[in-house]
Parts: sequence; C-alpha cells; structure tokens
Amino acid sequence: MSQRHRLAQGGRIDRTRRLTFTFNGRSYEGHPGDTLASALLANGVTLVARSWKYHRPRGIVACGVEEPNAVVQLETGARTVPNARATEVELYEGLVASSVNCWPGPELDLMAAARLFSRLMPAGFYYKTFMWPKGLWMKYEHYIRKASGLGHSPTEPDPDAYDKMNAHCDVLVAGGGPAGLAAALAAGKAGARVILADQQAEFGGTLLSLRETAIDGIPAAQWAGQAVQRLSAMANVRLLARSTVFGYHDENFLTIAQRRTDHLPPGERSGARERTWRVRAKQVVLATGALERPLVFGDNDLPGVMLASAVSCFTNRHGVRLGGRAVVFTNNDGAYAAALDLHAAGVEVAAVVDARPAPEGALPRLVRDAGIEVVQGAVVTRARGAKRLTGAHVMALDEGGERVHGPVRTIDCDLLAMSGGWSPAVHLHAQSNGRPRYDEARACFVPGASNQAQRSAGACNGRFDLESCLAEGAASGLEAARLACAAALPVAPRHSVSPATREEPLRPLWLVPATQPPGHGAKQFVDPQNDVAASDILLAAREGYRSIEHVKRYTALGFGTDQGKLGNINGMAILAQALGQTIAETGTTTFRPNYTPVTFGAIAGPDLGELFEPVRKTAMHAWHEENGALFENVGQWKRPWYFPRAGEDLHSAVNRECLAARTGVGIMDASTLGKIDIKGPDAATFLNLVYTNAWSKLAVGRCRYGIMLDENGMVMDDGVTTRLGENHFLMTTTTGGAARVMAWLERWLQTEWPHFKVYLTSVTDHLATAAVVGPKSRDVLRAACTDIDFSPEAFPFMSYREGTVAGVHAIVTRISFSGELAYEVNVCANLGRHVWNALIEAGKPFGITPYGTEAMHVLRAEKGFIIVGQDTDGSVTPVDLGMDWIIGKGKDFIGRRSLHRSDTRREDRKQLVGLLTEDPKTVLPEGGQVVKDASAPVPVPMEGHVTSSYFSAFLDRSIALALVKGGAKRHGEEVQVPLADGRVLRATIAPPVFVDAEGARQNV
Amino acid sequence: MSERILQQAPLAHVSARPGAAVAPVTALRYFENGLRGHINLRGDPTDARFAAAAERALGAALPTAANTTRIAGDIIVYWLGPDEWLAVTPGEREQEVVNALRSGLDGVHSSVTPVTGGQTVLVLRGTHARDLLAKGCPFDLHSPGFRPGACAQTHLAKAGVLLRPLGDDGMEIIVRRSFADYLYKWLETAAAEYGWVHATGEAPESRAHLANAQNTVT
Repeated sequence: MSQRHRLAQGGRIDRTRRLTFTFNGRSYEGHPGDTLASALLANGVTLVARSWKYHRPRGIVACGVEEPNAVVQLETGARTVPNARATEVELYEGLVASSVNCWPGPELDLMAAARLFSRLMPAGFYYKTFMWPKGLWMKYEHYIRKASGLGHSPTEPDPDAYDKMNAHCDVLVAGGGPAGLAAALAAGKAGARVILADQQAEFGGTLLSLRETAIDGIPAAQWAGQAVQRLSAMANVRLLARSTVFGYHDENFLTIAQRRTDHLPPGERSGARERTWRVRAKQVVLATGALERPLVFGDNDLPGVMLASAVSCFTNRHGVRLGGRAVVFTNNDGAYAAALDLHAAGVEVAAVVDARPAPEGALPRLVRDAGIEVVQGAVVTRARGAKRLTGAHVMALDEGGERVHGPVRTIDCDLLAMSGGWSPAVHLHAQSNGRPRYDEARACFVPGASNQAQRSAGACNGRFDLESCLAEGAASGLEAARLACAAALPVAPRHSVSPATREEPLRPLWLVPATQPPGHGAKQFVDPQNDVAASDILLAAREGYRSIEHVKRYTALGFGTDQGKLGNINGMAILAQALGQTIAETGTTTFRPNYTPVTFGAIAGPDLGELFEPVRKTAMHAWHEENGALFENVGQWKRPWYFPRAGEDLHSAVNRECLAARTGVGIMDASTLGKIDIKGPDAATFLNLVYTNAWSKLAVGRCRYGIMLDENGMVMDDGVTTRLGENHFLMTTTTGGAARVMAWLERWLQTEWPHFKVYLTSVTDHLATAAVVGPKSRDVLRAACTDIDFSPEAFPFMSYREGTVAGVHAIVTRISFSGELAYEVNVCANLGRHVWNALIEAGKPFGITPYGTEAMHVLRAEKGFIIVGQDTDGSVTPVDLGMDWIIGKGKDFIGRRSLHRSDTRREDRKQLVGLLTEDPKTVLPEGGQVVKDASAPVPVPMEGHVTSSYFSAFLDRSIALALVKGGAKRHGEEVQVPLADGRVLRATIAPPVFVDAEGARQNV
Repeated sequence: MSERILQQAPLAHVSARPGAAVAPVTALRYFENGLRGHINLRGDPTDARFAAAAERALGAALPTAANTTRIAGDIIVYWLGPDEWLAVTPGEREQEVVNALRSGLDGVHSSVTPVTGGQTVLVLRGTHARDLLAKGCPFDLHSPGFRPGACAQTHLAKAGVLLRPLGDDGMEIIVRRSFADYLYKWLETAAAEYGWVHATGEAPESRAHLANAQNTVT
C-alpha cells in the first residue's frame, strides 16, 4: 500500500525521496515535507485513535497544535514521547509511532465496550460514582486512569541533552505567518534587534497552504520564502524555526522551546535535543494566528470530519487526496476556499452547506461558478458512519438559529470540511496579563488592553483577511521598533494581495440544533479529546454550575493535552446560551503557560548531575581526595567528613580522629567558614549592634566569640571575630550562613545606618584556613613557624599573631572549637595547599591526624558548643542556650527588644541540656522526641527533642544535646526517648558540657 | 624556599592537562590567568584625598561610571559599585600596589583588602564566546554597549561572575576560587556544540592589557 491517497502533483513535499515509517506496527511511506498526520492520510489511514472515555473511533481533525485526536506514542524505549501530536511531528526515515488509549489497536479496540455505557457516563460521572466509600477513591482512580490514559512516559533516564539560551532583543515576533513575517521585515529593516520564532519547520504559516493567492505579485508561499531570505540576510534578525513561544511572563520575559533534533532520525541526532530560549524583549509583536472552530453537531467526531483549514492544508501543502466526495459545512466565507481547493485537486464536492441564508461573497460566488451546489440557510445535523464518515444529514435552519425543520436530506460523503469561524490565538496575550474581550461582530475573543509592551497583529487580533494581516503586521513591527529603539522610522511597507479576499460576516453558530434535544440523539462533541459533549455542558448548567471555571473542571472541558484549543470557545458559548447570558459575561477560562506541552528536559536544561548545584571546593580539596576523605555537603561546599583508613568504618575512624585531637594533634580544613573583613572608624560600634556582646573594649590582637540574632531575638549565626587593628576586624561566620550574614550586614549598613563609616569585604575564598588542634598543636606550629613566639604568655588563648608559616605570610589565631589548645592558620588560598602540606609534614613527628566534620562535631558537642542550624532552628534565643553571659547589658543590639517579650522570657521554653543515656553505649537518634513517660496515653506530651548525638570515644560513652522544656532547671531528671521500632531509651538530663567544664584544656 | 613557585591557581588541575592538538575553528579557547593580584578597594570617590591617593597608587583615576573599567599600564581597575573597585595586578606587583594604596590612604576612611587567593581570571577566545556565556548568563552580552571598557557583575550558571569583554570574540571572566571548578565544568559542557580547547599557559594578551587599552572608556 503506497500512498494511494497522494495527489499526483502539488504541495510542498519532495516526491523524489521516500521515507519509511511505522504506525501501529505497519509500515508506510511518505515524503520529506510530510508530517506524520499528512503521511498517514496519504496512506488512507483515517482511524488513528480511540477517544479518552468512550473509546470512540477518531481521526485527524486539524493540521497543527490544536489537534485533539491524533496524539501518538512516538518512538520507543528511553526516547519515547507520549502524546506527540501527529500533525506536528515531521516525518523522518524510520519513524515509529503508535496510537494511545486503545488495545490492541484503533481498528479493533476491546475497550470500546465503554461506548455501550456512554449514556451512563455523564459529566461528573467519576465524581458521582466513585465517591463512596470515600477511602476507596485512590483505588478507583488507579483503574480509571489506566482505562482512560493517553500516552505513557519513558521509564528509562532521558539519553538526550538539553540546554538554555538567554537572549535580548528590541522586538520579539511570536509567529511566522503573514503578519509575523511582515512585522519582522518591518522591524528588521528599521534596524531593531529582532527575534522571529515560529513553531513550524518552515516559516509562512497559512501562506504555505494557499493555492492561488499572490502577495506583491508572487505566489504566497514563494513570498514567504523570499521574506525569510531577506530576514536571514539581516544581521540584526534571529530566526528561530521549530520554536514555540510557550510562556509570556512579567516584564516582557518570554520563554521559547526550540526543537533542534526531533525532526531527524534518532541515529542522526546530535547536540542538545531542545533549547529553551529565555528572552527579554523591549517590545513584543504577537502574530500567533487563529484557530479554526469546529461545528458542534451529531457524531461530529467521526473520522473524515475535519476542519476546513486542515482540509486546505493537507490538500495544498501536503498533496493529500483526503476523500472521494466531500461536503463543506460552514457559517462563514473562509471555508469556501476548502471547497475550491478540493475541487481543484479533483475531489468531488457534493455541496457546501452554509448556515447563512444568502451567502453572496466573492468566495461563494467562485464556488457556485465552479458548479458546486451551495445549500444555504442549512446545517449538517448529524454525520453518518461507523468507523468512517459515509454521509451527512442536512436540514434547514430557522431564522433564529434555534431549530431545524423540513425534510432530512442525506448527502453521501467520506469527507466533511467544517468551519465555525475562527478563534484568535489570544493565549500569549492573556498570559501577559492582557484581558481578551469578546467581539460580537466577529464572534470571537480578541486581545483587549495590554499590560505589557506588546501588540497583536493579524489573525490573532481578529484580522482574518490576508491583506489586513500583512498591513497590521508591518505596522506593528514598525511601531514596536520605533518604541524599542526610540528612533524615527520610515513608513510601513505595503503589501498587495490578489485576488482580494474581502469576506462577508459569519453567522455565529455554537450548538447546531438537531431534531432531538441534546443528550438524546447522537453525541455532539465539543472537546473530542476529553469526550465532552454539548449535553455534558448543559447538564452542568442544569445542576447549578455557573462559572466557566467550574464547568471546565466538572466536565473536564479543555483538560486534555490540547488544553481546549479546539473546543473551549464553543463550550463557553454553549454554556452562555444555557445560562441565558452573553459570551462576554461568561468569559473564558484562564490561559496559562505553557501554550503547548514542554518537556521536562527543556525546563531542566543542562542543570543536572554535577551541574545541578555548584560544588564549592577549598584550596586543599585535592589533598583530601588524595588522602581518602569521604565528603559531606555543607551548604554548597564539599567538606571532608572523615578520613577512613583501611578497614575503618565511620565510627572507628571518627573515634580515632577525636582521640588524636584530644590527646595528640589533629588538623582540619576550616577554609569554608565565612570570613568578612570589616574596616572603618565605626567598625566596633557596628559590631556592638550586630552581636549581642560588647566589642568596643576588645584589645587589638584579641579574638572574641559572638552570637548574632535576628530581629526576633533568635540566634541566626555565630563565630569568632578578631580585632586586627583599632578600626579593623576579621569576622568569621558559619559555613552555610556566610552569604546570608554578608547580605544581612550590608542591609543594615546601607538601609539603617548609612552614616556609619564601615566597609565590608568578603574574604571567605581568599583565606585558606588550617585548624591545628590538640595538646601537641603548639609543637607543630613551632616546627612550621619560627617568627611567632608561641609561649602561652606571649600568645594567649583568644588572640592572634601575624608571622611566617612555611615561608608564607599567615594570620594565626589561637581559638578553639574543640576545647583543646588549638591554632588556626590563615593564608592566601593560592598558598593554602602549600601551607597545609607543610603543616602535615611538620606534624608527622607528633602523629598529626587529619580529621573531618564528623569528628569536629563530636569534639564541639563534648564541650557543649552549639552548631547554629543544628542545635538551633530559628526559634532559639541565647537565653534558651544558657548563654546569658553573652548578652550585653548596657547596650543595644539587633534582637535585644525581642528578648524582653513575654514569650521569650517564659521559663518553660525549650532550653539546651545534655542527655546521658542509661546505657552508655547507646547513641540517641538525632531528632528523637524527649518525653517523661513513653507509656502515657497518646498523644504523649512532648518535652523536647535531641539536636546532637554522638559516641564520645574520649568519654567512652554516648553524649547528646537536646532542647527540653524548662531544661535548665531539670538537670538530673530522668526522661525517655521512644523510638519508631517500639524501644524506649532512657536518659538523664545533664549540663550540656561533658568535657572540661572549667575550660582548662584550651588555656595551657 | 620561594613563595611564588608554591602558589596554586584555582584551576591549576585543569591547566595541567594537555591541551587539544586539533580543534574545530569554531572552538572556544580557554585560559586561566591565575595568580594575579586581586585587590578590593572601598572608599568615597567624592573625597578628593581618596580619589587622589587611589590614582597615585594605581596610575590612573578610578573609573566612576557604573560598570566600566580603566586600564593603567599592567593594572586593570573594575568599577564594582559607587564606592567599590577591584584592581587586578600582575601577581608580583600585588604587595607593592597594596602598600602604595595603604600608605597613600593613611588617615582616609577606606579599605584596601587583598582578595588574591579568592578569585581567578578566566579568558575565553572564539567567535562563539558570547553565545556560550549566554547559555548561562541573563545579562545582555550582545548589547552594543557591552564592549571593551565595560564590565558587568552577573551570574554564569549558578556562580557569580565579573565579566569584561575583550573585543567581539573574547571574554574575561572573574570567578570566586571555590566556584571555579564547577564553572569550568559548566563551560566545558555548554561549549560542546562549538568545540572546546583548554590552552596551557596564559591568554596571549594577558601580560599587558594593552590589546584593549585603546578602547578604554574614559
């Protein structure tokens, strides 16, 4: 079977090349220039799908994005695409596609038994039927979805790459049909930076489907080609084909999905499959065209019933012979072109059925001249056929348009081209916060007032004749360029069109009357993809639904993958009629992004895997890797977690690392801590305000620990700050809080205290920091540094010295996060690895042991030192932590007032305590709930929770920190921590310092 | 023990790899101009003493127009804010320039902070340099005004960057040390369609910034 429905000539297809493809397991041929839909039609495949709910046979209705039926599963395996619209899929060699929602295939669909029960499945059927018992809905839903689903998503990881591109332009033109091309030409010629995006492979839109029309004296399609050539020659114009403008966001930010490889056989694809363009446009011209409306009559979903524009497109552009005998059913002049196109292609046109009583426009005259019968003042009440159209019932329509009368005339036909008029594609206009308004004269929604720098041109603005489209496009392009470039520009070019295409007005026709009331005769489909019929909308109205948004959700109108592009306007009008109100009063549902479905890949772009989030590394990172460190994420940083030796697990490695720091010497990479250089005569005053404690009297050369509160008095950061000079401090912050603290400090300086003379500079990345920790740390420093006196008298705890470590200028602070004698060596990060190597070398005689964040956590917890964000959670004050001593009494600071609120002064607030388990080997789980008695009736009153919990090798027992209600006064009390597995652990509340409460070890 | 030879630029591990021998003409060439002196300068440009001292130490007046650079011999000064600049010097001149700034600014409210270890300079060369960066940068890189003499603080993928255009086919990127490895991977991945060459050594024009000196915005 080889393209027996292909016309011998004509169309924009390359008959010299044949492409083989497979649909539902059968092999067919097509040509370059075909879509999957046109190739199927050329092979006589008219039944392509079964409907969603009733499994009715369905064929191709449209030729573009609005196609509701021909959604296919494209390709297989990892590259499979669910719900691809056959009308948009460009044919390539080896393409494989299959129908969705039918089994085993659309010709013999066993699920079609659902049709027998269709009368029993009205609007809201699922809601009404499966609501009881309530708990079973989830189960019902599973099977309903299975029976009614469309395509299936791939189960394997996506093998394709995707990327993104940011772009800026003066004028973005969305849509490359006549209006868009004219707009881009005008704007481009005026010198504006232009982006023209069109969803199809070829620019031209409807021009590519016109048979006889000429623009500026040349055939329309050729004119489009020349326009593209002229645009390509302009350096200031970027043409994006196969690119759908799918989102229109605030501030003229638009998103475009460009399909770069889908039109190629999978084996020939390379590079990113799709690219998401993120465009900032000074001005936007929307030239998105219009979507033809179907007519709502009985069994209008039979294969063989198509939009008139699709008939012209498949006939003229793709060279497909769609049938042997056709009827055209219309309420407007435009569809007469389809009759002429069919006639020219040798298809017998049995009649044009026009709802208007006396169509006398230019096109109807041409049709009559061609000898085609025009049945005026009449409608098709019903299509006839089983799996394929065989005829149409035609009856006279009364003057009011509410009743049909007279005899039923049956016209045999296998093709019915229908047109209910045109709906401008106002989607992007509406997304941009424009308000479409109903235009009575043209019977369609047109763009209303714009709320962004934007204008609509052509069919999407309700201009349905070619001359107006071109003129409005050119004028809009020029005006957009003028506004964007603030320049005086030439007048818009004029384009002539022949033959002239002035049309007579249409006769609005929403629900075609039938001999039986809706719901009794044949189904009159409004939204074929979701099987929503006129009767469903009328039922919803009878049941009391008034809002179109509710009716949409109740009936599922427009909920399909086509998002109601085909049926929504008809549905709204039918609801309006039922409610006895105007269409303007009924309004539309909300047009939301995305205009057409966008793949997750296009949204994710390249930000996957190791590029998903930055991995920040210190200057010593490579050393850690070389020495077997396992890493932990701390903010965006990778920090060494622990350094296991052969045969060690986390527990044994951490025990070893901790004991080294307590009894010998350890070394840790502390480079990730935030570091802020603070300079200026008001620096100390500034610190007084951002920290709870006082800084004015800190001597130069000394260090001090500080706690930073937010306005609510809650702990937000902590760290040690060193006074490098009278007006010069070096602050450290937590690793994860560095950026936040910097922004916080700048905010206060810039907005509240601009009179302060203080400059802040982040030096986090500039300084690499090695913490040398343990009783033997002094020995290591002495070995690595000869120009600093490390004696306790010369270099006391909480002070700093500058000197030369391993030949490198270093700032050495004597501070401790472990409670041991410890030094932190800060050097320019370019020298970080060198100094680290030297310290390791100098420490070898003392058994220096690198340790990671886990050991650091154990060491600090043994001392009861908090980790902000672990032992605090934004609801903890310094008083709750038992740190009253750090709150300055005679000064102001951020958060101070909040510490005097009644709530922050409550004595039963959660307070930091230690917990000692009854069994010293048991380690409480962090996050565990602390209760008095786990056997109390549910809900068991909760007393607090475990914030930090470790095994302390130094103490040979477990230790934990917890926040417990009124905990400061409950030391010695027994509590319980129930576990998910039913066990209950017992523990005693203790002070939160487990090692060296006097602080003697760090003061040696 | 010489301090200089012990230094390690953030992307030293990348620069150590052999460069590609053959590459398509569209390929982007990448260089790390590591181990420069980076000095952050804060002060009030309307304070005549500050402005004069800075000019003396740097060899040129500070650029005060937003998002511009000024080249003074082998020093580039970038405008970062109304009271903030970055001076990038040859590595061996860092201390000298810091000292000159500090002594000149003695008694003037200001801040001279070396950030040398904290950031590095990458240079991209190739006709697609701006296209590549546009994949991850929302700033209008193709804007007619973004030419030599300008700079921009923006982001590239998820890293903050300072950009300086080097003619039509080149871009300088200053990035924080800790983000450099991530950014390199991102660049290499994003460049796949054009081709990617990491060149060993420094960008040819990098020793003296004279290539663009004539384009300096004044």
